[in-house]
Amino acid sequence: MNGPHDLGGMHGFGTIEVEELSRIRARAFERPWEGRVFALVLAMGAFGDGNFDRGRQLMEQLGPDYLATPYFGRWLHMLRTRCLQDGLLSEGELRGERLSTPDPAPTAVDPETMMWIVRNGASARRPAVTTECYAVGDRVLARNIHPEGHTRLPRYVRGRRGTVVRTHGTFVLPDARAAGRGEAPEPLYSVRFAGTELWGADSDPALGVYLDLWHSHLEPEAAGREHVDHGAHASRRAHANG
Amino acid sequence: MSAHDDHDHHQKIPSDVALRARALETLLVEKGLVRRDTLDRIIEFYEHEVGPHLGAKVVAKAWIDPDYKERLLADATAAIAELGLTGLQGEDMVVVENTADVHNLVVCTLCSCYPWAVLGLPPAWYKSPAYRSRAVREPRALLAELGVHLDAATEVRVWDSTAEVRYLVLPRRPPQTEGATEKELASLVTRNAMIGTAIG
Repeated sequence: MNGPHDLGGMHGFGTIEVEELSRIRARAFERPWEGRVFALVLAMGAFGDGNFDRGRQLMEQLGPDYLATPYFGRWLHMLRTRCLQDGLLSEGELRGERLSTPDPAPTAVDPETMMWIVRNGASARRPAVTTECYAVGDRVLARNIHPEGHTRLPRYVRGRRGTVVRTHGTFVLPDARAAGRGEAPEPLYSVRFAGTELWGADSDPALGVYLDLWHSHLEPEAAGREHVDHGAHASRRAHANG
Repeated sequence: MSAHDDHDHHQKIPSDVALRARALETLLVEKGLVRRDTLDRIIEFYEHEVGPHLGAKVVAKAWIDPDYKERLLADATAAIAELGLTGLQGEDMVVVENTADVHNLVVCTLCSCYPWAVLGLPPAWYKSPAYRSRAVREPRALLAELGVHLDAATEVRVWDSTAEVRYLVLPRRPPQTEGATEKELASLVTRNAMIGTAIG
């Protein structure tokens, strides 16, 4: 969605304050409630559909409130919304009415199991599903699409030409999983866009911006420019091959 | 709105958001969906056990062991796992190397993706709209404000973490550290150098 979370290239947010330049150990949480919210989100992962893609979509749907809400406030909004949508809590319960008793009683995750998950993670990498892939060096065009749902294709690269510099393998497509369309795994690539392609001829000539984009975010560069010609080439090639 | 305003705004509302957080925690615990000891353990882990000191071990080993560095740049996930470092938001890693000609910078413009397993949770500035908006458009100016003055000819590579791949910058080894041990080298590596917002 073209929401306020898609910040790449925007103006007007000022300078950054890097207050901890010399500190090797980061402070994980600025305030105690932030740690509680973070931990709640992780611990609730087993109930309902706790995938991160859906979580990000719920935060993006804050709309005008997105920028005014502190980081872990967005996480809190996400968890509350998810609990309601997944039937884990009711509006009444959130208002302080009597709690209903889940049947069967849920088994909350214990500390040991939780730490196993934290230490092992859960990769979004999946077995290859297709042999149709771009290769390193291929010129590609980021598609000029504006889906209303969650996407990991930021606005600032749509319609821009780039080069595949690395193939990561096959990964869950967040755009699909956030929308409840399953994992729909696709090849994932690191694509380099020249700074001048993104920001114009007078921008930094020694800048390259690299994004991880999925197969369906991309098309061959020629196809984006000349759809008809591409079709003709493809059919000629098919003919020649046949 | 500047990052500073954002911070001030942040200061005003905790009472409300903290209360709502507390209320939600109480509900989820009472419904049997969450255990408080599990929450405490997660917080303890992210506050005290995981952090940039882990990434610093990876960097120091790469500085001292050329074979390790080669493995790290070829397959960072496996090379980092050799040191026992795995976990959430570190499942699939890529390490990018700073050289005399190339400076790397990591950002997430769409949210705040960050390699938790080797750096811990991200600092406030990494999550700020100012950093997320500017890092991909004018990284050289941004870096100069942070005291990192790059030559105009130095290539800047900005890695926007749009997928579940997590990036770690391998900074250049500081000069005059030839005799240093791996442990001594690790103590020289800062968090920001591994994000790309500092040199060392």
